[in-house]
Amino acid sequence: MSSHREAPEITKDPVADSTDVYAFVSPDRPDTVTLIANYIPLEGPAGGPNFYAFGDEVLYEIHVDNDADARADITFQFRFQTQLLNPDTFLYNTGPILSLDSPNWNRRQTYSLTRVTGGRSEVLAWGLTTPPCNIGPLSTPHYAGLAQAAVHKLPGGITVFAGQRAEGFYVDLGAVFDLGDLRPFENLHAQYGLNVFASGAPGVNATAQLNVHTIAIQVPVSQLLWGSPHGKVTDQGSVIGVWTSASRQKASLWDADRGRSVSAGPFRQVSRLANPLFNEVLVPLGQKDLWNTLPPHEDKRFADRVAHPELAALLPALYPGVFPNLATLVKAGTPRADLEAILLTGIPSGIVTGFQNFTGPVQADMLRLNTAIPPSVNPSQLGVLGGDLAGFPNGRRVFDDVVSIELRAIAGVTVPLVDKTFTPDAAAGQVTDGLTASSVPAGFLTWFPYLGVPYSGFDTPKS
Amino acid sequence: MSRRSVLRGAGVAGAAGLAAAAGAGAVVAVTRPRTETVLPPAARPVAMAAVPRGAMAGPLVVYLADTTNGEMDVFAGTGQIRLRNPALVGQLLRNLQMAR
Repeated sequence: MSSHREAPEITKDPVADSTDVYAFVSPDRPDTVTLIANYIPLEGPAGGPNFYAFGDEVLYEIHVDNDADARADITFQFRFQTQLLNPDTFLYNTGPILSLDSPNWNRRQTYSLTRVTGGRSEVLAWGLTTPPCNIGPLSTPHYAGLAQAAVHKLPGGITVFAGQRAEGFYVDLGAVFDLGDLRPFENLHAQYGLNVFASGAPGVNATAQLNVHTIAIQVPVSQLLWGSPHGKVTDQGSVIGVWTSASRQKASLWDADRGRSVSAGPFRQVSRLANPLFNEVLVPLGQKDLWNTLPPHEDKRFADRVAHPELAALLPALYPGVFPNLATLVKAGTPRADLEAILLTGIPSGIVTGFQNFTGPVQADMLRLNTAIPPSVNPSQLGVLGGDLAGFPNGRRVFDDVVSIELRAIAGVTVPLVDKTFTPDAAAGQVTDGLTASSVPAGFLTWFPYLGVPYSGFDTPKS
Repeated sequence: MSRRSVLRGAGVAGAAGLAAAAGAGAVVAVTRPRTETVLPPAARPVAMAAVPRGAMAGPLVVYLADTTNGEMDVFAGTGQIRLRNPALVGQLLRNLQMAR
């Protein structure tokens, strides 16, 4: 998946498990940037009686680097606090929840938002309400409006939301992790001699009816940039790097005598995410947990995994004869400067006409957004690959088809950006898991927080 | 169980972890962090607001990373200090021994 349960240790800690990060110039407020970090993977909507909530003991952060050193210049911190109105019932709600202050809502969360700039912390707001989970027509009627009431407008033009949303990341997990038998091309797979597939098939969106917990903040562009010249696409100062992290206090234990967990000490990072699939696909199993503890500016130690991705060698092996040029490239051991640029430094000027999101030589996994590129009127889900400079890997929008984009890039379609003599295989421009944004049943919103209304427990799954 | 066997056990395990959550008491009094010995906060890009007033009244966790040299990490609020107190550790181990 993008980064759902991507490393062994974090699979045991879902509330701290970052699943996706998005950063884009807001289409309906182009003077702002929207930053979204999702947590808690694969929420089954009917997961009562406790449903889902952020971790009270977790420090959630969205970081912004605006001076190209892969270190956070601005950090937005989110801390949650759970309130239990009535401890003498097993119910999440004791009647319909018609408003965010409904007495029928028994277990609720509020949160604080703190901005850290230059080591100085400023609490922007506290006691902010989250919406309940979407339970069903009796418990959470009019859910869309109820959740929208949890969108908070703060002084300074900042808008913030935290709560459950429909999973917007679409991927055919069943196919990808069944030894890469991408359904549209499964008949071309070597199939280990088992001859299971005779023809291709449509992709299946494994996350189609699942929810996540979203932290979203919309910030005026001017508050994210610094003094370096910015405003033009060619200005390096127009580019920001974005990532999220979750941290827990260093010491924790289960106080069984009191039925509570105890946490103390400094916060240490347990989860990190920027580009989708980075830790999941590029970092080997033995280093994934370590990667989750490190800041982006230490990603140089993983650069070789980007320059020589395991998946690039697997594609020609799994699909014999389909990727001959990629096979030659891999056999020659040619470092993938295209992938290093896309994922670790940003794309410099002069590579893609009218575009750059270069943040300098520091190799770091960050989503890099050129804030001077306006939102697309006719966006392409394939982002920059589809000629749409406002999409991934220029930041990431909620509907971008990042699986196909990254599959194609790894298959070699972006090599000519750095080596004009290389001809990508025909299949490289077509490889996909067979899904599009329309594979997300909930769809997407055209307004903040952009991710769709979460699936309700009553209606999901359909009988 | 003898002190020697406790120490040998610690050696085998690599580190004997003795975590104690305490709201008050002798351990708290002895190990209460001094401001000047507070270690830098997380090496990660985490900058927290100042330790809230009253944090020291909350849970306090002591981790004995190495019983052989009396070194212990004390976690309180969002702070951590490393103390070296062989006498205290020896006392704890003797208490452990008596408790068995």
